[in-house]
Amino acid sequence: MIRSVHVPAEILEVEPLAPDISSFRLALPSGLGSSPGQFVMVWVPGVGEAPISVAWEEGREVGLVVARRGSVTSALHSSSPGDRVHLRGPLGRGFSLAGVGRALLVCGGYGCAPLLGLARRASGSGVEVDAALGFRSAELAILVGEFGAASSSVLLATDDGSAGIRGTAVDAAERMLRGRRYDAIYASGPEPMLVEALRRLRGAAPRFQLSLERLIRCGLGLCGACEVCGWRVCSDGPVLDARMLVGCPDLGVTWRDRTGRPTGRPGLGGGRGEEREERGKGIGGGKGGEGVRMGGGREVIP
Amino acid sequence: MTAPSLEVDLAGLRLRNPTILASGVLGVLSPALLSRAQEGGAAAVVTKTVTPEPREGYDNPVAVDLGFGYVNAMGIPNPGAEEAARELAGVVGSLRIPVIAGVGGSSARDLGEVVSALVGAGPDAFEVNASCPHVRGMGASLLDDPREFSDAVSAAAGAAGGRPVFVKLPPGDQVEAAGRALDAGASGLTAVNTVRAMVIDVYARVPVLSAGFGGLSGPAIRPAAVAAVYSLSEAYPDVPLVGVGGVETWRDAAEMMLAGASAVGVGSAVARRGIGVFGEIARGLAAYLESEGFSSVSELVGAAHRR
Repeated sequence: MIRSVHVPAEILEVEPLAPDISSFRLALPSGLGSSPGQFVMVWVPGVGEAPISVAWEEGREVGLVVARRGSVTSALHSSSPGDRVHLRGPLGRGFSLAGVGRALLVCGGYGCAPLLGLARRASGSGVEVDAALGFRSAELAILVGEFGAASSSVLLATDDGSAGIRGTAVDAAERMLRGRRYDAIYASGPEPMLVEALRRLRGAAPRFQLSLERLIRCGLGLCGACEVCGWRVCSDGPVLDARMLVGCPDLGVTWRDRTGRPTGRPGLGGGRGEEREERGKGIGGGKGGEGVRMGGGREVIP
Repeated sequence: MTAPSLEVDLAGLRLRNPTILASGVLGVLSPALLSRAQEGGAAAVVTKTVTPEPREGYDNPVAVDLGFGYVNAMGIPNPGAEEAARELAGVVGSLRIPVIAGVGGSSARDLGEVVSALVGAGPDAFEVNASCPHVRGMGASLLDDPREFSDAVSAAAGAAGGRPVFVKLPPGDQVEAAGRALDAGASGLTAVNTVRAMVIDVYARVPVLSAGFGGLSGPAIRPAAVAAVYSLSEAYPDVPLVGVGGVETWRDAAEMMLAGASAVGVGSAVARRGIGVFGEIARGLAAYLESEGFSSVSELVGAAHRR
């Protein structure tokens, strides 16, 4: 029987990466056995439970990159080494590397977290990886050195040009596609960025997978709260093939609030009311209602 | 010899096979998601319970997977009757199979209001949730006041414009409550809802679900559901019954039908086995019927009572 009750996890280290984004290194009783792109539900008793992408896993240790978004992520940001949280997972479907020799990773903001685990897994199994990373500004750029260590080349972009090229992650990806062919493109980030990636990068490689972030409740594929165009982000995803999302009118346009009612983008003008925790889950490693946009490019690591 | 028929008649609803998506599962009024249940083989869908006012439901954690079943307490999140009517119309317009609107409330007035709001959207039937084990003042607590319960069912039936109204009951001996529901105008019964349950984390040393109590579903409750259906069928042999509780395979479905169910609700198995589980059950039933020499699945209904 497969079960997913919570396991206790001790916080070993908290490393601030950018304002309101920190990396957490956790020790578990045993490894989760996660695949890159899968997520865990992080439970802080008395506070709540939020979905967070696994950024990396090694032995009994798991890394999570968490953006401060609501009550659970705020509690995590206030925690210290030695504190305990509770995880259930791994949940959902991750990225597929089968048959891929060369991959292009495209990500924005804290959506880069799950792709770091993918980059490490890929390079560890002989897949050549290039990464196009986008952030709003140099101050918000995270994991750039880590991607450098796990990739052949990294192109960094910021909206304001304060680091790397001026532009978006998709701009950076297009630049990388000029000179090379890839077997697969993997994208993770805020939904408007994913819409842009779908529009501009689809067809550029035989495989194209995207990691989505939505309101997640049960995390098991039961309740339907995370539905987008018929797919349950928690269990059909969070990683979906691009062809599953072609023609999806909701992507980047329509979300659901906690009642299930269709609504505008959480955290931006169209949303209704204050964010609650499950909204805009950290599934992309924590992409979210922040309007993180990507920027243009310069080769950081040749 | 012709292939055995899987079609069943459920209070006038014609179902292509006996499997129905149970209420609360895939519980948003999304034509795209509910269409996947249809493509997966479901012969009808029951929507999430709709209440008069919008409900956000409980904070996470709302569900735990125990392996032998789930314990959940979502808190009946739904957009409220007015918005749900709009979305339900889209669902009814998109699906070729019958759509049964799940409805709930804490009073006769609530039920009348919700059914009146939804009837124009054109659902094929209604299912009154009289059995949610964890929302106070709603669901199972409707049964605490027999008069209010009867009034609620009659309000729903009165507003349903002649469409069938099913009443969903909790586990246990509900023969009396079922009788009241039928007297008040219910056309059929759904049994059972989840079993009131709790999970305590031994490391956190507190209940896991934010609501504390929740409802157990999945294979763990199947024998309890079979018992409930059997008792109801014995008491009301001519009443259409939908058997729900841990049905995952054709064998589970056949058992539920032998106990007296005309159709089976499938819920947790959608997460445990995938959305194609309806078709798998239907195909398995067909093979069973053929090998056992039945010409129609309806011959199974209640057959375990005729010893």
